[in-house]
Amino acid sequence: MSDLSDVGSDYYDSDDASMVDGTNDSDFDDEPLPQPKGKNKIREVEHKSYSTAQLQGLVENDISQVASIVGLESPVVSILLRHFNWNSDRLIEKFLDSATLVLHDAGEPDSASHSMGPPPAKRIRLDSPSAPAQFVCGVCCDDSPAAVFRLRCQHVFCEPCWQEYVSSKIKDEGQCLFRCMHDECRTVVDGPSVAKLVEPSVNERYKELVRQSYVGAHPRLRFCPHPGCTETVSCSSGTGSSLLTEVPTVKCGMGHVFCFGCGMDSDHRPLTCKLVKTWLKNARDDAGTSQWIKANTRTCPKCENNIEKNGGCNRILCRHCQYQFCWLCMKDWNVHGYNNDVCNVWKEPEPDASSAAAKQNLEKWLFYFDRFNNHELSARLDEELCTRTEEKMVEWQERSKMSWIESTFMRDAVDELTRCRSTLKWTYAMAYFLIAGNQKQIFEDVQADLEKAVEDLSQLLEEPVEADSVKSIRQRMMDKTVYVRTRHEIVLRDTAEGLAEGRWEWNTTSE
Amino acid sequence: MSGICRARLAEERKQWRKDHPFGFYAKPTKAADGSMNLLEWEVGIPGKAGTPWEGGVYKLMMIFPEDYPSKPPKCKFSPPLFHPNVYPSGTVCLSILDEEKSWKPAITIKQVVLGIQELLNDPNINDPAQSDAYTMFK
Repeated sequence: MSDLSDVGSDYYDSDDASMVDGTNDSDFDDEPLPQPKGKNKIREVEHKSYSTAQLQGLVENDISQVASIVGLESPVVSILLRHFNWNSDRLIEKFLDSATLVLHDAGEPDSASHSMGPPPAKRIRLDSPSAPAQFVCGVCCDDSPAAVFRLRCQHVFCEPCWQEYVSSKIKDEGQCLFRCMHDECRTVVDGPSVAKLVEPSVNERYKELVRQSYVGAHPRLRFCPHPGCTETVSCSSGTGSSLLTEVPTVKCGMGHVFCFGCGMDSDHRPLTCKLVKTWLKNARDDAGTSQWIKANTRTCPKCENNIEKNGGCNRILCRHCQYQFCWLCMKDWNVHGYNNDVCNVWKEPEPDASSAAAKQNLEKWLFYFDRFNNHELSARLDEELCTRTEEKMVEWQERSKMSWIESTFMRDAVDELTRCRSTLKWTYAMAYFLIAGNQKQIFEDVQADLEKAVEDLSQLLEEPVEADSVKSIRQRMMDKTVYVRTRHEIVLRDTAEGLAEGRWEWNTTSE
Repeated sequence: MSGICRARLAEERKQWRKDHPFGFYAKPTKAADGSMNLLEWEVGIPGKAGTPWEGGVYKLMMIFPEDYPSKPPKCKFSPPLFHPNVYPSGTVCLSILDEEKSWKPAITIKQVVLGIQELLNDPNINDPAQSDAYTMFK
C-alpha cells in the first residue's frame, strides 16, 4: 500500500521537523523535511462549555430580557418561553400582535398579569386555615385541611394534594410544564409555586428540567454525553450540511471529548457523523452474524443461500432452490452421484464472478472491521498495562530520586496512544468507505505511518521496566510519544482538510 | 401517597351513593376474604339512548394506582369491546385517562364514566387503539 509514498509525502510530512527524534526511529524520516507553512495547528471548531450555574444564567438572562420587553413577571415569561419552545423573537412578535391571545394560548388566567402593572397581590398566597367555611378539597375530599394553596388561576386545593401532584409531575413524569389540578383549568404551575410546594431536591430537578427544555430547543447547545457530567457545550457549527465537511469535536469543561454533531461520547475523527452512523449500523448488523456465517456455513453453488450442515451425509439439498450438491466438493450431485466418483482429489475451485464479488465484499468489510476492533481492544489492554506499570513506578519513585513529574511519562504515552488508537480505529472505518484511487492510497500511507508509529510505541510500553533501565526507556518513550503525537496531528489535519476541500470520494452516499 | 388515594376513593364512593347518573353502577370489588378493595371498582356503563349501543350495559373495571389521584385510573372493558379506542386487551384509550394528556387530579369517577359513555358512539379517529374496529369505522 505504500508504493506511492513519495507522492503523498510532500504534503503531509510538513512538520516532522518539530519532533524530538529518538534513537531508533530514524526509519521514519528518511528525507529532509520542509518547514510547516503556518498550518501546523489542527482546525478546531469553536466552542464554549457552560457549567450548570452558567447555563442557569443563560436561561435566566433570556427570561429577564423578554420580561423587560413584554412587561410581565419572569415566572410567567418563563412559562410563555417554554410554550414558544424558547423562541424569544417569535414570542415577542406574537405578544406585540396580541398579548391576550398569547396569554390565552399558554393557558394564563384571563384576570391575571397581562397588564403592565404589578402582579395582583393574591397571585401566590398561602391561605390561612380560615378558608371558606364549606371548603372541601376537590382532590382528597378533606373538608378541614391544615393548609391550602391557591394558584394564580384562583383554584384552591389543600397543600398536601398540590405537593403530591407537583412532585409526581416532576419526579415521575419529568415534566416542567404542567397545569393546575382543576379539571378544565389550563394554567401552568409557575416556578415560585413549585419552589414553595416541593422539597428542595425536587425543585432542583424542576430547574434541571427547565434547563433541559432550554438546551433541547437550542440546536447550538448540547449536554455533554458523558455519564454524570453536567456541562453544556455551545458550538456554532455542527449542524446541517457542515457535518459533511467537518467533524465538530468539542471538549466540555470537565475535559470530556465528544462530537457536537451526533452527540457520540468520543472523538470519531476523521470519519463524518453520517458515515459513523452507517459504519456502526453495519457493525451491529454484521459483526456477529457475518463472521458466524462465514465460519459455519457454505453457500449453495446455485443460489448462494447460506447453508449450515448440522448432521447427516454429504448430499446436500438446498431448501431454497432444490439444488443438490456434494458438501465436500460443492459439485452438482447429479454429476457426482453416489459411489461412482468420490471427491478425494484436490482441485482448484473455479472462480465464480458473482459469488466472488459477494465474498470479496464480506472480506473487505471483515478486513476493516477487524482492524477497527483491534484498536479498540488494544486501547483497553494498553490501559491495563499502564495501570500495572504505574504501580511499579510509584514504588521506584519512592526508592529512587525520580520526581513525580518524571514518573508520568508512561501515563503520557498511554494517553497519546489511546487518542491515536481512537483516530486509527475510525480511519479504518473511513478507508472502508473510500473509493480506491490515488487519494485513498495517499490516505492509507498517512494512516500506515501513524499505525507503524503507534505499534512501535505500543511495543516500547511492553518492554520490561527495571530500575536500572528506567532512565533510557523513559527517554525513548518520551521521544516516541512526541513523534506519535506529530503523526497523529498529521492524520487529523490531512483528513480534516480533505473533508473541507471535498477531496474524499465515498463509495456510499454521504448526503 | 396512599392516604390521599384511599380518602379520595372513600369520598368518591360516598358521593356516588348519594347521586349518580341514571343506568350506571360503580362499586369497589370484594377481595377473597370479603373485605372491600377500594383500588379496584366494577363499573357498568349503559349505552346512550338513540345509539347502536342502546340497551346494553358494558362492564368495565377501574383500577386505581396507589398514587391516584395524581395518576389516572386504568379503565378496562371486560370482556374487551369492539371499538376503535379500546385496545384488544379492553383498556380504554381516552385523553382524560392519560396522565400525559388531559388527566387532572380533580376529575371525578362520575366524569370519567360519562366520558367513556360519550366515547362509545363518538370515537376519536386520531387515536386508534385497535386496527380492526378502526379500519372498519374508517
